[in-house]
Amino acid sequence: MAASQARTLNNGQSCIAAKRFLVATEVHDEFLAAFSAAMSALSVGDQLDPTTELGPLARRDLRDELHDQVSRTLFAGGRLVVGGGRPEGPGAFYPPTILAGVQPGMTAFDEELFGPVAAVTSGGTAAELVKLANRSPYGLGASIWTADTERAERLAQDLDSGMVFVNGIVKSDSRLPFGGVKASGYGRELGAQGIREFVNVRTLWVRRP
Amino acid sequence: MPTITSLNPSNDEVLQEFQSHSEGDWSKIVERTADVQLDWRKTSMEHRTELLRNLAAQLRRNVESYGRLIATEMGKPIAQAIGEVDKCAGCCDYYAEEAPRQLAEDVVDSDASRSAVQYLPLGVVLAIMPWNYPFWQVIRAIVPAITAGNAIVLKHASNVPQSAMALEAAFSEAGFPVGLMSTILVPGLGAGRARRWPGSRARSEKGRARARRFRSIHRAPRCRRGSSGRGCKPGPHPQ
Repeated sequence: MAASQARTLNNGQSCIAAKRFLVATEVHDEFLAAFSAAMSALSVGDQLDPTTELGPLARRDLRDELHDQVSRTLFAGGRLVVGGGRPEGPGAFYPPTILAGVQPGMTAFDEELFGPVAAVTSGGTAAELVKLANRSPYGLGASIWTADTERAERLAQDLDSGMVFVNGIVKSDSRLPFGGVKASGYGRELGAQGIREFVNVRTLWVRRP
Repeated sequence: MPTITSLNPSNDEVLQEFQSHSEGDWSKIVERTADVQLDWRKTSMEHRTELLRNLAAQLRRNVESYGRLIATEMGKPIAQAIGEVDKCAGCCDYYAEEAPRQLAEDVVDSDASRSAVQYLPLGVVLAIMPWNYPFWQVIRAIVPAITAGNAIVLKHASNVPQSAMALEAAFSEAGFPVGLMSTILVPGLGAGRARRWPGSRARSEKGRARARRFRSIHRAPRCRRGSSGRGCKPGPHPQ
């Protein structure tokens, strides 16, 4: 499933991983059920085992920080749907986790969660969802999932992000510029724009005598 | 000197420990890189793109071993790590093909007999890179930078030193001049000092809170460019 992949690729530790899922009310329950099933089915374990889909986080302190963010979200009223516990034993593992009912003001909405934890927020109209999406200090990537791609392109105009993908998970591609707005940095990588970040744009002016 | 440790996050096993460079060590490395860049900037675009193709081949030849190294050192599933190395080779192919056009001079009409916009190298670029894609983050920044005639000092994240060393070796094995891409092994604070080194003309950064703190301490007056990434909010910069 695209949603679970978008959240858990690279063990959830990607700047462009999907972290906040803003879902229209009429499809929310169906989405949450399918998403929960997909996250629960992921095989977690040794990263060198070719069947593993989710390995450990890169460091234990990062795992502990993530767990703290989950705990703070639950304390503020978020609902734990899947996962959530910090495993005992060696390694920096964290289970695939879904938090529902996440609202602005809660940690999982306002901060970036760098690991396999998804924050799901139910909203009303598409315009309201776009407004919610823009309530973030960050603005790197966004994806819109809909059968109506023309409408998606119109909605994309109102999203504050450096990249918008329609019916695809946000990814980098050498041919296309990559970068964000707001607190997601400045400049662009990749593509023609990316190589020009590393040059002195020289103006040359010559008058022949 | 502090050590920089590579460990397997699945079982906490220490894989390798590296002695970090002293300030004297890395200052010499940065100076050597600056010297190498003075020759590199004179090379032809044809030569640079030929070496890029060698680098792509080098990455593809070693896709399994590099993939295993990445996966072991930072924990991502092995298939994704192999995919990362393959994507790096694709980035080399892309710039080998497109850079000559992207960096070609644009002739612009003005009141001059001839006026143009040229895309010239900046000098030495300090690349401070994160651990989440230990190869890709480095390649997507430094391949275009080197192709544009710059040299690189890489300060990789402290938990992926083996990846940093493997990348440095890959550039040499592909035929790039020794010292054109140099790794410095220093903890975060060392990078903060390196960033202020006057020979460093640009920076490309991705990083987390540790890097962010130093960025806010050192305003990096000579540094021009940053790059986007996780919570990577650059400090104020001139221009």
